[in-house]
Amino acid sequence: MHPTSAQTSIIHSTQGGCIGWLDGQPPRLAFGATREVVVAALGEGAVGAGAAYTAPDDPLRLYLTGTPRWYLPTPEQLLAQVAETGRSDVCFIINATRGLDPLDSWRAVETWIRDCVDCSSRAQRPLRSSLFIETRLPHLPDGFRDLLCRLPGWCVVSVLDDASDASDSQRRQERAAEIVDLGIAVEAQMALAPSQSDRWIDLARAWRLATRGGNLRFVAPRVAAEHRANRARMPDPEEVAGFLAAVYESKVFDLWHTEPFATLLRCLCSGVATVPRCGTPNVASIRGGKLVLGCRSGSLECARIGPPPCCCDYAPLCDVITGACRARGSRPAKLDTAGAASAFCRALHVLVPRLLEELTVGARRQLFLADRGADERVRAVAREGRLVIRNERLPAGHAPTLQAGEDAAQRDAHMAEAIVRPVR
Amino acid sequence: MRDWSERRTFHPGSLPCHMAINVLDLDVTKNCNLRCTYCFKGETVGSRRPCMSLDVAMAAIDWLIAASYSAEQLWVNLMGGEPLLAFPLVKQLVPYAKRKAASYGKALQFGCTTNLTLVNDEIAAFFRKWGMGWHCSIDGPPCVQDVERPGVGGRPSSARAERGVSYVLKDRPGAMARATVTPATVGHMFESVLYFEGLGFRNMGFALADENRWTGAHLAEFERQLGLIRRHARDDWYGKGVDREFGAFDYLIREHIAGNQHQFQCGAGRGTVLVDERGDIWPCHRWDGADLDSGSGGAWRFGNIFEDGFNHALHLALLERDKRACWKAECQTCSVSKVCAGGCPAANLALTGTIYAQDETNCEAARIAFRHAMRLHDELLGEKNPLFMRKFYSKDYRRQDSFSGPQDIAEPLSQKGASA
Repeated sequence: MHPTSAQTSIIHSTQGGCIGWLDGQPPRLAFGATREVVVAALGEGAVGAGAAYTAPDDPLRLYLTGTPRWYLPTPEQLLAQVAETGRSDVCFIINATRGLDPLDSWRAVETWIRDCVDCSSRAQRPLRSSLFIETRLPHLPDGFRDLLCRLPGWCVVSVLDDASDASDSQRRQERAAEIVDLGIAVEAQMALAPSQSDRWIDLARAWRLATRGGNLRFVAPRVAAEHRANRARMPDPEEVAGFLAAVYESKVFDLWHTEPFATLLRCLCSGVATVPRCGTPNVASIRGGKLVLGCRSGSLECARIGPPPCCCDYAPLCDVITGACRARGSRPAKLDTAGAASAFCRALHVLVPRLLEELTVGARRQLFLADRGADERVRAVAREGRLVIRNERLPAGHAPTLQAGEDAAQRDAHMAEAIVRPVR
Repeated sequence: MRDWSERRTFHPGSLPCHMAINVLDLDVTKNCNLRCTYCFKGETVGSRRPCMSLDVAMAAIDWLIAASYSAEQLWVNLMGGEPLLAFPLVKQLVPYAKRKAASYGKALQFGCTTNLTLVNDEIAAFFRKWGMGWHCSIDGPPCVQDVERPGVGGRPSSARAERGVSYVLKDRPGAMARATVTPATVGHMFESVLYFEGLGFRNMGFALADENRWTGAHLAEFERQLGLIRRHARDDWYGKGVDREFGAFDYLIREHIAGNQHQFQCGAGRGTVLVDERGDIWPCHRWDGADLDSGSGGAWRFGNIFEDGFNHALHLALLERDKRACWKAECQTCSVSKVCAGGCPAANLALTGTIYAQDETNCEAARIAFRHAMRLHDELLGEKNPLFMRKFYSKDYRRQDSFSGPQDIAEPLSQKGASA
């Protein structure tokens, strides 16, 4: 082992290969093909507890449903209530639900946001506010782009593409592209409607271009749970698995910004427990004109209710990816939740072994670095228009010392972060 | 509306995996309105050369955000050619990049290396609004500037550059005058220092060019000029409490005091890369020219942001570069060895054909500068000069630089009007 290098490697064998990680760091990669391996690696507690994500520093996520008939407290009242929770960051999440879209009643939404931000900046203890708008982008109302550009905090426009035909999707993409070019982050939620399964991959590529490689999230269509006939509107699990495999193999999607890959990778690299689920305890909503802490299902206890039983090998991951809410998990599952779980569960069986392989390659690269001899350095030489990389021994008496220096420390820190990224 | 379906996004396979990138040099144009005699970009720069398209520029920003992994502070240096020839692109790119980075929880700082001749009210206001930094390429008084940095057709450039300086220093008093010295102008170095001071610069530095043409006589003159500058610094700056930054002296004194043994001269090819107008990725802004000068045939190109296949092996080799692996025999006894990091690797490549060996002119110039810097250090330390002690032996001293200033990412919400 390299005696002067800051890092050494540890080998962990799984069915997918050998994985190494930096010494002194918690194990970053630990996943096998069976639940037992997951439990062994992450600990029973991490898996069984359902991994409620607790990050006190995260902003308070305040859900506001996009209807023109909001019963909202005044900005002053609301911000005072937020301040009472002890939070200094708040993210306003404005949803498109039940066919209603925030942009359809933009004037009201815009006024409220402006008032909130102005009020916050005047407050004795100013809040940092950010904005997450979920919309189908039915149109780009006057003042929408201007407001996004002038917000003091970050904002994300999450475009829901559940269009029933290609031209409607394209219109949404064009509008999204216009917003993206202002530097506003746009994520696309692409619903996997079975009727359009033959063009899923084209649609995904188009969204990738429209959002300039922004976050891309594949979701199950939102269908009403009470109509049995709607089962036909849920995607076939095999088709979802095949599609996700095609996305993976195309290599043009940045997997760290494409769901469910991003969540999978985070789970594999950092453990299930580090992946945010429904947001508890950082979630709040407005009820009766008051700010209420708790998840969207309305229960502060949601994180403590056990997960729905699943005998799948990938149960912990499956649970995280489908984002099953603990509170809802204790009731009969809605059709959309169950359908999505089924589709993505199957996809996991296809994807995980391959992701594991990629991560293994990344780990091997790191071993290559760590195993170099004390007096060896890689050397690059251009020769006749070709670059030759070779190991070279240092002159005697000049042993390298990757110590204390800023550069070495920075390199190690970056490498520790970088090595968990898949290598192509 | 532009046809967005024609746009391209970066390829995930073009990202590095051995170390995050957090500094991006962006060649927004290879056009230039000056014809500097020593331009290190060589044949890559000239008239009617390709400009970077907005799509490539935006994709490069997206690439940087992805390639920076968890790094939260990013820098983009607009390079060229003369980047202000591409001001329409810059106007669209900067807001895009700042907002995009902010949405990923990162702060992105822009700087621009310019010859100053195109700076006007509009450009200055834009730089002020977006908190951009200036790096001023200016060689000296008209007798130097107009000879070494003529415009197209030999037009003098000094008057235009001086006008640009007034804009820059109004917003960024710490901006640096970065002068290039050739054998033809080495006799004017001290005169240039006085000229820069007269223009209002507080921060200045010199770098050598045309190293192959330097002789012993030129180096002797270089030593004499540095002696004049040293005495001027001692008597008129430190002696009178006037705070000035002189690149070579200040850097060497700091390194000497800190006892730093740098393995690397800079971040080139490690945390820093250049993306050119085609989307090609190079280790730094000098490297594409150095690759050409050394006849390497593109071997030092990391890849292209739109293509799979980042050259991880090359990145690793540059990360692992160790000056001690290539020490010349005389390095063992060289007075500068404790603070020398082996020179600019791109200049080394252009001059010696290898990144690992520095040419003799730069070695000798470094030794001369080190001698004067140490003499200045000893003199001022001996007399316990207050400014010197505060500047180099106190932790609360804040250096002036080209970037200190406002860091806006958005206009105030209450202001109406289209910012887009």
